[in-house]
Amino acid sequence: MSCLESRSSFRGGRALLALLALAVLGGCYANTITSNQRIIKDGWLSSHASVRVVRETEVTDDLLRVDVEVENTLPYDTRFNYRFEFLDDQGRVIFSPTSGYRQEQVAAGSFITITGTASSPQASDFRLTLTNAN
Amino acid sequence: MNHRTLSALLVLAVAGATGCQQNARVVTDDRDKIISIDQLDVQDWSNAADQCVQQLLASGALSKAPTSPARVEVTRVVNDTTQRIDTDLLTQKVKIALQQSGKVAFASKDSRAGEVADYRDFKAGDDAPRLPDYVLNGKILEVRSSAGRVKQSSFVFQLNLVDTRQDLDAWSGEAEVTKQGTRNSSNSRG
Repeated sequence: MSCLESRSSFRGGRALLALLALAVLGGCYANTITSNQRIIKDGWLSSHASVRVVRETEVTDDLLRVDVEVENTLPYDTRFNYRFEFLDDQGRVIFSPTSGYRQEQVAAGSFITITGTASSPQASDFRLTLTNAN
Repeated sequence: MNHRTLSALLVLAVAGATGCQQNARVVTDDRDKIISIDQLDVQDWSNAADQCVQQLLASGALSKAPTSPARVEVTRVVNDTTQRIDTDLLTQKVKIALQQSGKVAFASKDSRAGEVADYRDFKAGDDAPRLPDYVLNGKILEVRSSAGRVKQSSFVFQLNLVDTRQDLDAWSGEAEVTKQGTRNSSNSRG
């Protein structure tokens, strides 16, 4: 094999590796909608977080409150953003001046509980979006 | 340095300068909003209001109100920070959220509305003053620290719901927003 041919195959291999790396990274950060359509997550949360609704209760008689547990199965501390949205019985989003993304950090192998409370008694369902913040 | 090298450097400099610039855009996603280390950003207010409202609703204090919806008056929220801030950024969000709950009605501070209501009461022969069941007051504090180049600012939002029948705190809540870093960040995506 000539020197020119070997250099060309080396370049081809590098390009292939770069493409593979891009594909892997792209796959890691693609949005994933879990089987539970109410919880949407991406990034490390798709593969290394166990997210489950612990409790759905009512506070002050008729306001929906949701407690969700997020477990970090990674071997290092990490962070995520999350937002609760509340929906009425027809699936319409209820406006709230206090809704927005919050940031939490969770220690390696540990879990935290995040809570959302609807400010309107019309809320009958919720949607939770969790996104990578690392 | 020859002419060709000089041209290449010039092209690189122009490309670099253009790459640093960013056209203005409307930001609706909290994750894209600027995070300042030493001051409160717009998203911090909704974060603090959310924490306070969640605590208040979870406490059940409003279920014990003598009237439904309970009549509440916002009195004073003291700004004890180094910044010049309008505390309505907090109280208005708390008001909207609590009004949505249907548990609370807030007394208006509009003088004209007060005059008209007084006149209507006078015409109806009702001389009872409109007294609030609760007053809402509070304080915003700031705590700063640093370690080497890393700076940290904590803002603490304290709110109290005072039962006016007994002059007792029916509920007290506290929210905290702490920010840390060496420089401001253009978003929260890390």
